[in-house]
Amino acid sequence: MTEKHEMVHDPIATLRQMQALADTLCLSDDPLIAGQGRHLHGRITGFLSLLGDDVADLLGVTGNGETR
Amino acid sequence: MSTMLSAYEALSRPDLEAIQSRRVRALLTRAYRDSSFYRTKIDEAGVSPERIADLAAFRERVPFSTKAELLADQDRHPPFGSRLCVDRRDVALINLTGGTSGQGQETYGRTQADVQTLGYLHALAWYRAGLRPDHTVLNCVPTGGMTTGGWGPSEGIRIIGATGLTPPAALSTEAKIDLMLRFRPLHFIYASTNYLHRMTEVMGQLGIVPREAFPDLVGVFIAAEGYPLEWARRIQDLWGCTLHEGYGSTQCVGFAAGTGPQGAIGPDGGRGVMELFEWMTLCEVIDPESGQAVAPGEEGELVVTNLTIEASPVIRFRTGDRVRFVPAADRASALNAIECGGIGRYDDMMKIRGNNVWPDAVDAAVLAFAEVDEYVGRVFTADDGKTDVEIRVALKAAAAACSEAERGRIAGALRDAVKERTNVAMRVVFADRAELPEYTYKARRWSDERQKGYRL
Repeated sequence: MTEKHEMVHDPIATLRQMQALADTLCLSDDPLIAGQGRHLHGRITGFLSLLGDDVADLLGVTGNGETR
Repeated sequence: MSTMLSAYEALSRPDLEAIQSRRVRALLTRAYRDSSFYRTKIDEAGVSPERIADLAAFRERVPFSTKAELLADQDRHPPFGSRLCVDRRDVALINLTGGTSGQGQETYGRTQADVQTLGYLHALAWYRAGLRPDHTVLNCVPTGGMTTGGWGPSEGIRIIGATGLTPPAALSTEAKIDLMLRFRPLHFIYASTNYLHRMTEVMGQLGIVPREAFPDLVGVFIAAEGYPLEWARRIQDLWGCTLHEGYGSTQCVGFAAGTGPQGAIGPDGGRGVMELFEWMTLCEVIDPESGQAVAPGEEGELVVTNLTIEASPVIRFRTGDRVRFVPAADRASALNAIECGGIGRYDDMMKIRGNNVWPDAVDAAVLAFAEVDEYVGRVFTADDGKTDVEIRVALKAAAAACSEAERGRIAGALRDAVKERTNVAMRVVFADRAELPEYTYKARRWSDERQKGYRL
């Protein structure tokens, strides 16, 4: 429950971690893994934008595990 | 409740405009850097992105863009135009507009992030209308193809975590109703205005009362075509749930506005409003002649700017859509809105069975026949509830006197030519020249009588 609470509390920070992990998949020598890594990376970028990571300070979320 | 959504919905108007302002500045900086199309436009306007400090400066100094400009840019720099803001290799999906204007098809590249946004901009409107995870939703809008509207619904349904029931467009309405009954409980329906009408009519013919057959429905959601208020009330009564409406387009990458919990009928029993998703799409309503913002309550042309789109953002794009502006201040809300049920066009474009049809395109097809003297067209709702299109053609005297077989051949050729130009099948009937109007100025050949047929 604690873990779930933290994810909901700061989805931007969670997505940034996921994006870093997707980045490692992009570096794979296997093109099918690298392609899916790029897909994941792009989807996460979109999700971050929808959550407002570019305006987090104005929206009231920091992306650092805190809310304003 | 969505904390993600409520963060935006809880904003004050000044906070919302601060978000728009920052996103506009970031968009202009990026477009100026990465797109020679926008760099040229901005340079020619004598502005630089760093001098656009706020929304007022954006509206005052950044020029509009038009369909004709985008098409000309594509002609010079095929296939995406020089407005593409990302590396060609980052385009994951290609969307085209319908191409039925006769002017050409706008091309839009979508990155993976844009595809996520495209899905979200469908999911957002439906979530606000009551669609939730674990619901089953019937999507009656044709899926796939090259259009944004063909891709968005399936993405949106998956983003919400609902189950999509997306029958092929070619399936009969009766067969679709069978599927609806088979996969009950059904919670939500997305359809064009006309198709919801058609489905309601067929259910009546089959002796099915929608609110009894589908008691779990939380909403029916329509888009694309206007409707009379009485019809909206009757639909809510027959289906036993709230009627919702969205406004969207390829340029908006999905819906730019949608009804909230209240739905398409307002609290006073009049037309409701669609709130604009202004943190995603900057919307202006302008006088098409002066280019200045209209006053509250007035009609004007909707102008849109994508605030977060990566590959092919539009900046101050003139949609040609006529909307009635309902400002935030009139509604005790942070979000501006547009009125439900009456979206129109400033040109003569008609939305017919999901296709954008410009009379000019039909003119080009029909009047290309040497045998044709004049024609008129009408779109109407037939007795069976389907949209029907009829063109009445007057032949020149020599052709009018020809054999029945020859007239049949001409009618068939006309039908084929119109279908090829517009993607819409139209019935061709012949009339005497005296039965058709004489045009002394601009020909007004078309009438749209569909709303008269929306009687349930």
